Amino acid sequence: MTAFFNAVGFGVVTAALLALATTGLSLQYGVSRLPNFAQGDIMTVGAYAAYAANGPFHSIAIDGIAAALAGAAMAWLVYMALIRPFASRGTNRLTAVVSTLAGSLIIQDVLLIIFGGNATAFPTIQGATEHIGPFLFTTEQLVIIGVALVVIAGLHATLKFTFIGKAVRAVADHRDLSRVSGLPAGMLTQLTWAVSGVLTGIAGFVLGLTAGALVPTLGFDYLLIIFAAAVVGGIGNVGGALFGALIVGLGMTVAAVYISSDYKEVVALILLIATILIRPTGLFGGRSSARRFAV
Amino acid sequence: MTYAISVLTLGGITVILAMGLNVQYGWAGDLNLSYYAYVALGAYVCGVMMLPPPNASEGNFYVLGLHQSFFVGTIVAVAVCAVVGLVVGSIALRRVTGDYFAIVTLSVTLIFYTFSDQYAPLFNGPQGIYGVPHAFGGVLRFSYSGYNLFLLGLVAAVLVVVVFLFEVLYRSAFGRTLRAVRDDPISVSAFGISPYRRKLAAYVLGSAVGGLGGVLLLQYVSAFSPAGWSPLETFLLFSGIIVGGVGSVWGVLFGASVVLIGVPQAVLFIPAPAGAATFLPALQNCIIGLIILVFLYLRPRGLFPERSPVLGFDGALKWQSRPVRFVVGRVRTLLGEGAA
Amino acid sequence: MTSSQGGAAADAGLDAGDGCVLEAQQLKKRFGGLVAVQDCSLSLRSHRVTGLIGPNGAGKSTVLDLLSGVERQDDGHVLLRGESIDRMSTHARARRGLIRTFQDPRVWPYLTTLENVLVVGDAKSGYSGWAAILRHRRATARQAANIQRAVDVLSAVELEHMRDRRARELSGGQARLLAFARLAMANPEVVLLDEPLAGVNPILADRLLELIRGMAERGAAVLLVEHNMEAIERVCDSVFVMSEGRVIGTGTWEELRQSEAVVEAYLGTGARV
Repeated sequence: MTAFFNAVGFGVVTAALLALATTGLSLQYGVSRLPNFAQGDIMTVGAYAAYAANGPFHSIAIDGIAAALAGAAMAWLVYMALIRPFASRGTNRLTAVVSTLAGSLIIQDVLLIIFGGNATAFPTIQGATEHIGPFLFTTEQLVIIGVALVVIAGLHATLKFTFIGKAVRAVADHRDLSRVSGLPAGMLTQLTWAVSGVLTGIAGFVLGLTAGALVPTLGFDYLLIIFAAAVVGGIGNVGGALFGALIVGLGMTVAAVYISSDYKEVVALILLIATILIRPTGLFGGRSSARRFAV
Repeated sequence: MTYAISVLTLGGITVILAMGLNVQYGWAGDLNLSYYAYVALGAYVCGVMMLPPPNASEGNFYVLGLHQSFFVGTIVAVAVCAVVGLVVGSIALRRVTGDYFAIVTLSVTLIFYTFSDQYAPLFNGPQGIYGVPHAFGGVLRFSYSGYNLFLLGLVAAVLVVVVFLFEVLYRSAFGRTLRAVRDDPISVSAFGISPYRRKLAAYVLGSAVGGLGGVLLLQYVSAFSPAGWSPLETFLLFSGIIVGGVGSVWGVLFGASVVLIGVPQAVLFIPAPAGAATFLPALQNCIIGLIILVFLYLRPRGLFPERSPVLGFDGALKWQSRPVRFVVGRVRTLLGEGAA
Repeated sequence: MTSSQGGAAADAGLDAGDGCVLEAQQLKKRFGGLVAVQDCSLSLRSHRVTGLIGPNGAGKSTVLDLLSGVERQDDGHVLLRGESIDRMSTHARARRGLIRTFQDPRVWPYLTTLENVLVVGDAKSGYSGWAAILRHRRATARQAANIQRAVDVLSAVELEHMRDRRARELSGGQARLLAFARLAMANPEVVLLDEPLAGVNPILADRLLELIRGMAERGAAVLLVEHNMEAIERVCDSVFVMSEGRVIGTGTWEELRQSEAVVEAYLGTGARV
């Protein structure tokens, strides 16, 4: 039973990480209606940026900020270079999907050229372990969970209560209508992508912390797990992203204990496939998710 | 000389693979990211058909080990790929299309990859299968270089057959309907055609060709292991299709030759920093990624966009080259369409 | 079967007697909280053009979707020649001779004009991928016959000069004609036309109405959803009027003009009679 509770503790951490990346993906999907196959690599860029910042500064906080900034820049670049040229042309949606795949390939291999293929050791947060109820957490894990909660709560509040947040939601719901009513839809979309990159970059930083080492495929290996969390929760809404992240994160870590850690990704993938085939709107998805089916 | 033969053989196999993927992406319009799983499956199945039973004392495990001929191994491998394609496709295509299909197929690939890597009793885990006997080795006793030449001939023959086959299929009712499904599945179904069935047929056909390419790949390296392929490999094949012309048989033949043979060779001329073994492959992938993007921006239908068969004087559908079409168009205009 | 237009009034009723090919019984469809179609019954007879009119949002397109299987009704039945086709997919219905069009012509842009028509012929003659590879004689002959028929059909709508051009190069009007050529190739028993005259110039509209009339004369049962009242008056033997998801009136054009309910719900909103 101890193993189970430890697994749950670790699962919550995985869920926190996933929640950040998935919320980022949901934001992107909300405004652009496309799955971004370079999302995992934005995480990797965040992780490497944190690594690069750690050299001169030796501060976890500065590492996190560097990851967030690099993630934002990368996500904005992905939107401007890979999504927007095809979205505006109104061409086949698959063209934009293929272009994000090409982007993923390029990002991974640029990182490979710069940092090499060997794993790069990543700094960790030292600290004692703490019991919370039956669960065992390290200081690092508590920091991760705390950061994830604060960031997502902040995002949620921004979307819900500020003018810009409301404008972004308007663009996500009715792009043409919001443009007609005078909202700068193009700029808001760029802003949303940058914000999604902040979340994704931090997720990458967290992934680096938990993995302890960086390789250029770090984020890409996580891509489908992010998709799994997004689809299970119902892609395109923040509450769903949290819920999906929790299910997938816990599912993976519990499976690692009871099946084998070699197959924990398989569990996430099976959850993903099953959800798409059986309930494509996600467990949380409402009416609005149905239209994502269009080719 | 040996080097040239080796490059051409690998290149020919890659072009065959791109051909099969083109049926799914170019004709049926499905972004299938599971393609390379069928290549691997074909290679593994042919391998375990041809190898003798595994020797557990050497730490080798795999299923079958039937010690069959290359011929039998190929047929079984292609059949297995087609059947697996039928099962996976009938589940995936019934429910999803578009970007969700891409996500599902990528997941399928990763699941297959994980099992081939982690579950040793299947295909010997991370070690993979190795020491696969030469094709027709018992009958044709070739020297080493003679065998390489033979393999090149075999690949070329398969390529010719595949090109001829797809050329006919493209113009046939099958290819025509498939392209209509790609353009607008709903209006196709309004005329009594099930888009699902047509897409499934394309998926199975592509999977079988992928398996066949896998068999040839196995003969080329005489071994196959998880380290030898990655799920992203499928995506490199897309570059050949996009550059050549999505859907176009001759375009893909050209595009895949140029991008998938030419770029890796060209990259070799770039001086790599000492001690960085990953530099050249990484640079190669970067260049291929950039080429894809440039084509998507500037020439999304490729260098040789798919052509339309036109009606010949004998009442059959055939090709018409651009200059001929231009002249015919001019003549028609001069003769006056207004008279009609 | 006579094609006398005077007798059409009686035909428009709900009886499933002779000549009634397609019948809808009490169809109901809701989207979320919105009831799009409710208690909708209508019947189509061969050799007849039946109009379906109503203000925007009356549920006409939804009825077409339900009849053709693009959407499934929540309640009610659709009968083709007295046989329930409720559980059939769009393509299965089309194979049984029920073909619909869409508001856009929806031609296949990267196929040539000829290929667009040929695909419809292929749908009827079945798969011939293997046959093409093996150069099977019967299949080759069938293909040749298909091509001949497609060429004839194209010349009937005066599109033969565009035969080898891609459909995306056609003008809007030509695309409409191509859509009709595809219908002619399919030669269906039941045709559901969704606003075929939308955005069409008067000369072309005349031509299309002729084609519609021609389909009925060759024995098809035609359902015409249209906003152009003049067209409805000219080609329809009988008309159903929908408003807010219900059929509120049926009869000949002349009868409907007299009906107060219809005039109030629909014709009173500005349409010229």
